[in-house]
Amino acid sequence: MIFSVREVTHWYKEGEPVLRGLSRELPSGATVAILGPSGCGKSTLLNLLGLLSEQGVSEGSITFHGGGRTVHYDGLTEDRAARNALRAAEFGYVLQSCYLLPHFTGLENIAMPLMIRGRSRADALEAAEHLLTAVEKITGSKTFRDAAAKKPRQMSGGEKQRVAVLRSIVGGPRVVFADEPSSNLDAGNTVAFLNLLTQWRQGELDGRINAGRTLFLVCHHRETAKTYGDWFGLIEPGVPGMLFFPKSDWDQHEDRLERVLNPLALKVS
Amino acid sequence: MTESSPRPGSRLGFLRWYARADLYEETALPTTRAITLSVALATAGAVVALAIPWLVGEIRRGRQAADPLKSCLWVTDRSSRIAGRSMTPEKLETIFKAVRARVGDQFREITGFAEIEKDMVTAGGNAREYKTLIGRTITATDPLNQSLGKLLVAGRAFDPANPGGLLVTRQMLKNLGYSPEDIARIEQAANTDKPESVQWSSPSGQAIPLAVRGVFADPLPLGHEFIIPEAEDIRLRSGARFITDDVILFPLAKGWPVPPPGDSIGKYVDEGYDKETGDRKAPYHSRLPKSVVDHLGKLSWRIKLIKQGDTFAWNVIRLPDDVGKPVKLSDAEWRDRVDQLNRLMAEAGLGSATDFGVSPSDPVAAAPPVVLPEGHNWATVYVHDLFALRPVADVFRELRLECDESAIRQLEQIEKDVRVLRVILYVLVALFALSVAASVYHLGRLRARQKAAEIGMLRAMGISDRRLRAIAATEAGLLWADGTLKGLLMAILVLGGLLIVAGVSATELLATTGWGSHLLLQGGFLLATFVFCQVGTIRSVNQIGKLSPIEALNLSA
Repeated sequence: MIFSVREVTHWYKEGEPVLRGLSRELPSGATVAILGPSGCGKSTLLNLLGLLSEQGVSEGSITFHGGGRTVHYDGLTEDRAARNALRAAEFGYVLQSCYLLPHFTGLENIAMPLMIRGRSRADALEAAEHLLTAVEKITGSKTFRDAAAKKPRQMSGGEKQRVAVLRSIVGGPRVVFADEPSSNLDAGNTVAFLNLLTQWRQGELDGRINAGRTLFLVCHHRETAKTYGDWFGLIEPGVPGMLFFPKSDWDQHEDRLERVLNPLALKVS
Repeated sequence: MTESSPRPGSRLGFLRWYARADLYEETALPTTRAITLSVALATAGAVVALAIPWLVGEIRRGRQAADPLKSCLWVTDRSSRIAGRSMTPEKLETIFKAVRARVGDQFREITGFAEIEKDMVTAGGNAREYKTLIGRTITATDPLNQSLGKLLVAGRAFDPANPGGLLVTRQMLKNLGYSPEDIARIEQAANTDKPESVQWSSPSGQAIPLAVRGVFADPLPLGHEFIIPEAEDIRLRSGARFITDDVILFPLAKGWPVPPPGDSIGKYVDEGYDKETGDRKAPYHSRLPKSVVDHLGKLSWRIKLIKQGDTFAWNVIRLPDDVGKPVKLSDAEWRDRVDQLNRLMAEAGLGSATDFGVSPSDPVAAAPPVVLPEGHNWATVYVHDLFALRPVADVFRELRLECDESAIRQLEQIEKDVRVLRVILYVLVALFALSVAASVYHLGRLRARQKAAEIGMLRAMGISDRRLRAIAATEAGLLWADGTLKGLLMAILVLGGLLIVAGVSATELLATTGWGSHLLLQGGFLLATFVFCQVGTIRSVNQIGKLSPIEALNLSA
């Protein structure tokens, strides 16, 4: 497992919890798709796991198991340096809006996590180039390299997302959190970048098979989740905990997924 | 992905690269320029405002110090019982010792000079009108002698190759009746080897031409209108002596009151007697009968006391109505007048002179030698630092000497002006700096807020707080350096323009003192702006940095 979640309840406003009593061992070496309607707490869970939200869990505990160490998030509440170090070393993020640094080229954006960690600029850019070459080789597409040569304002949405994906994996993270990354993309771009993330997780880009990499994927679309996910977590508004099941159990939960994710469609029918 | 043998980067190199890209990339330029301009304006405004009072004070003081007539004090001894040239070498020594004791190494030079009164310079021997002029001598050791060239608009100062002649003011030439065209001609001639001359009336009354070697545009201090070398003064006084037909020389008759040595019998006879009160003004005349004084006055004679050995004589010169047309008197007429004078003296119970009234056939041989006054009647004290003038003036007061303090007054006026200017400009710069500081601060905050997503993403990547602050500090440093350099350039241009308009030369500027303390002040201001930029920027970034990555990202969204 990569995370142990114990009785996590989280709220932004007192008395109105977003997550309630969530307990689960989250597996490593898999793509975990988190599903649920808007506002159910998918992103909140991702932010808590990925330490993007520093307020900590309101109740319960989260423990990270990775790289031969165990980190209890409760102990990090006041330790910004440790949180920064964990984020830098273990996590990568692909967010809906990409958030590329606007004054740098795609290649420099890709290399930025390495530079932040203290690698020399030349070294970091070389590593980014190396990654681009690997991606180019495995995808047979030059679109990544094209995007890397541009500044963000010159990129399309798909190109930005490609750069964001490469940026998230360039540092060799153990976990990548992708929060609704395809919401602004067309089908072609969605497939391209999810394939890439999958290839990264599976070690196809660098030959590190079974490296225990985990991808957390928050998405709206059931079909997308079903295609790329190995495990699924369904969060329902007002329902404590999270329905968590492997891909093999997809069919038996399909109705529930349909009901939760597409309630209007059910009513119309 | 690529963990093999990573090379550690230069922290400073990364920060500089990141900050430059972040500040000077095309989309970032408008904000960067706005902040840079604010810093530049604040810097330029402050540097100019700080520099102006200092430069005004230093340059005006420098000009005063470079002006040989305004960097010294003139002292005389009017309280002396002995009128005239009482500034003897002994007195100069006394003053020298007292001043040295008070101002130490600031003392530069003390030199005496003789004020020349009652001697006449007339225009080319054909004066339009009669004028009495006042001038002074100058010694070779007087620092003024080395600096005279600076004060002349035409001609040149005295030097070994140019030892004699006159340096005159334009006003003197006007007083002598020269037209502007004549003055221009004289000035032009002063620049050549053939200067024009004016006539000098020697103590014996002889008109001697003196070359105008140089012309001052401005009036000279103490009401002087010309300067001659001391050697020239001596030469004139000891030069040709003769009796003309309007001069009669006679010894004092037996029993006539003898004036004390060195005393004067007065400027003119009629000035020695007050017609209203009957009092005698001149010391010697007070001892003459009124009838004699009246007689001399009526004749409008000028009388000078001449000493020849133990014998005193009157050199009586009739003042002509028009020097250009001297009234010739026959021997008989002279004898009548002297007879009458002798008679009046006899009536007063005094003896009569026996051998007067005859113009000698060989005037030069017959004339007694002219009495040359000894010593000087003024002294000039020079100091190295103008601020030493005040204690020197205190010394003069203690010695009961009269001092012309115009140099001190000018120095005080400069200080007063600079104080007022400093207050006005410092208040202005404070207001200006405050307004610019506020705008820089708000622009910095706005920029940090605009960059909230960037900061959030950097934090998501795991950037440390220290490195985030380092980036902010580097960017602030670059903004400050850029703005400050531009501001300094603007300030140099503005100050350069002002200095050109004010007619300040580069030499004058380089000679300015007090650069150290002024640059320290300017450096203090620049340091303050640096700190302000740093604090403002880091504070703004810290505010965003305190948020969690997701909050920072949402802030910009």
